[in-house]
Amino acid sequence: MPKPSRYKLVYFGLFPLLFLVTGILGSQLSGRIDLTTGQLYTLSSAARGRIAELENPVHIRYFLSPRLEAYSAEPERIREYLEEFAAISPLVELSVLDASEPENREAALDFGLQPQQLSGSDRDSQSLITVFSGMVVEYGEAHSVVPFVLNSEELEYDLVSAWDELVSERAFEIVVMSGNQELELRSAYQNALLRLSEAFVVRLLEDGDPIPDSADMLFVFGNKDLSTDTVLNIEEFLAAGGGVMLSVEGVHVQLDDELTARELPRSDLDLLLERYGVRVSRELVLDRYHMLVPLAGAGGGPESFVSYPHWIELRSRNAAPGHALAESVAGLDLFWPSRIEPFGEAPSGLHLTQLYTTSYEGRVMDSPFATNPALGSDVYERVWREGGDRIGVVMALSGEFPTVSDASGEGRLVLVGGGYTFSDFLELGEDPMRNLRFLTAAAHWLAGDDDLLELFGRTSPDLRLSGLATPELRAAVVRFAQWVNIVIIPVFVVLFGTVRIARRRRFRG
Amino acid sequence: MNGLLALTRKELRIQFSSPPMYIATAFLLSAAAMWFFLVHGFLARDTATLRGYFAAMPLLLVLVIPALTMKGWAEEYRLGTSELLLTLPLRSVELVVGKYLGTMLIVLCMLLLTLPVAFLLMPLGEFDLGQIVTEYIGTILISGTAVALGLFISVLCTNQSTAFTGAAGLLLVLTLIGRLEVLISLPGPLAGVLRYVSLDTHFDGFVRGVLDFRALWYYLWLTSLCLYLTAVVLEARRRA
Repeated sequence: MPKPSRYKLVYFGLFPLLFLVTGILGSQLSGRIDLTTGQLYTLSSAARGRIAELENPVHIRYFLSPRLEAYSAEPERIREYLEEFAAISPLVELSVLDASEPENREAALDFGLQPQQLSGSDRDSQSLITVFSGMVVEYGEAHSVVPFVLNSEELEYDLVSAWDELVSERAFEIVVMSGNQELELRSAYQNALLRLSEAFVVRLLEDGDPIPDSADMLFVFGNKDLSTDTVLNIEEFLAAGGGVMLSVEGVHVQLDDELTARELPRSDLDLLLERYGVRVSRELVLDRYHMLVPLAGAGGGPESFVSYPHWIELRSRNAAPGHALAESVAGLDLFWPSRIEPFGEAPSGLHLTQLYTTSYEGRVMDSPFATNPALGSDVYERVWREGGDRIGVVMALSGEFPTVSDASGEGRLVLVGGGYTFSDFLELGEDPMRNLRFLTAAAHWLAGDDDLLELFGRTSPDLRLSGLATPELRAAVVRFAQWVNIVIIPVFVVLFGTVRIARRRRFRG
Repeated sequence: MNGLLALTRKELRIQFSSPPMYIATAFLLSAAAMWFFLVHGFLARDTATLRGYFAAMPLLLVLVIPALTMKGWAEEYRLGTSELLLTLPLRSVELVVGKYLGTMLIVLCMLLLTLPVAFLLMPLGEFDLGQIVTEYIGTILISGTAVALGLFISVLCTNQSTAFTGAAGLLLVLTLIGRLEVLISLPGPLAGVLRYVSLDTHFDGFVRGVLDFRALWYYLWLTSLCLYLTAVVLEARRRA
């Protein structure tokens, strides 16, 4: 029998074997390097800390419909993340369950998970699928549910929140009230209440009701009709170490056809805030960084979008650097905000931070106020001619709040300019979730839950196009980039090729 | 080594004298930018990320890479220069790698021309530089695999149009095969294999800013496999 040549041995024996083995081994590889700023896809120290504190087993069941994996790579990332979670401690047990199997589907439904209908990816926008991608975290007899997760970026926050609820039994309670009699909580703040109840225990109070002892935080939306009793309750609550979030206004805009605005009379709340070294001015704040609002055309004509400087955008660069709350959110949008600024000297032991200011192009408008977008741009042109500056619109206070009672503790207060900031009214915005995210982050900050605040911050990095002064300039830069990349460079390539080939042919000829 | 470099230089010269290379480059740049700005809606999305731009790359490369590789070996056969090449004192592997490097240099030049997209948009927001780096690494890797596949198809064909069609068809299948389950229900293990085989599936991590070792390995492995198969075919021709 002839001996096979070296060539045949190498080409048809060794190499195919090598490719087969390395191919199979490579498919089992794991590990990755996360090059994103802030390492968005790497397990955080907060999550690792939770696992390290574990004393009894935790069982995570991930119910996943296999079809979902064909639509998105996220389920695989979620699975990898959960495996990373489980690899840290033998006390974390992980089961990834095929939700298309009847018994698993039934178990998922028993846990309260519901399948969701999703449209296809960008390329398959016509197709719809109904799928499970929910999680159940079990600890002893209790369990907590993450109803649906399709974003590995938010998974860590969802999972650690569920974890805290079960393992650490940390469920913070927020009491919420409306300080504006025209805006009833259940009808005007549905989205805010829904969002808060995802992560906290939420109770509703009427203005003047005493704050229950079980409450960790108090959220007050609007101050127009706030009673003296509530102001006194706020004072005591803060002095006792509670957390309060107030959306306040110095000028109230009526939601009627004319959008009439009027200064609010000075109230007990003003006096209280002045004692803390803060003042809410009776001016409206405007900014060059603002949004467009829809305006119905005259005589039933088509709707158009007009520039509205009363609706201002606050971004990361408007925020106080280094403040945990500002760093965990991508900013917020304010409608008819009032100036919130330091007033006199703050009491010792109380720390004031101007959390957000307008851009350096901020302006103020005194009475008489022009708030109707239909008035046109002339009003604002006059305002812009005056010098601009950074104007404070959100403030955070922490420390010992002065009080006449004997309560003592380190409280926290967030003051947001604008009575409508967290109402459903802001659904008009391009991203209505932005303010609601701020609300959740504020609750974590007020509760002193820094770990979850940090995790929350990882779910919504500020990626808005906020680098240039005006929307017009932004649009101009994008148009220029379009022309350069769609037309100029490709045409240049073709011309270069044509000239080069022609010269070569001439040279040969 | 000198022979390999000479072959790479020759391949570069051929590509720079080839109209399809310029048309493919212009098409890639223009189509990717049109998708990103006009269809995907970069400005309307108000998000400082190039994910949309790079997410379009796998499908665009399905047309662009075959336009570069179709000449690779098929043209040599047509012109009869393959015999000259095969008689050179170079091993088949060197011939394959030389052509591969030449084509890859062209791909890198193409990708260099996409940099103005990033540079011009940078002042608009806080783009994640780490993510942009991985997006380029991913695009280079997927292009490298596509070039190796295209050259393998080219070595099997005797005319350019067959090489183009074959490579484009194979790349299209390999890119979309992971999404087959969207259309038809497949058994779990088979769906898993198809997802693993798909070029597009592995690209996703790079677009997000993550260097996934399994994806890295997959592209390098598939590239090596295609180059090896090309060398096998060449060696067989040489011996025949």
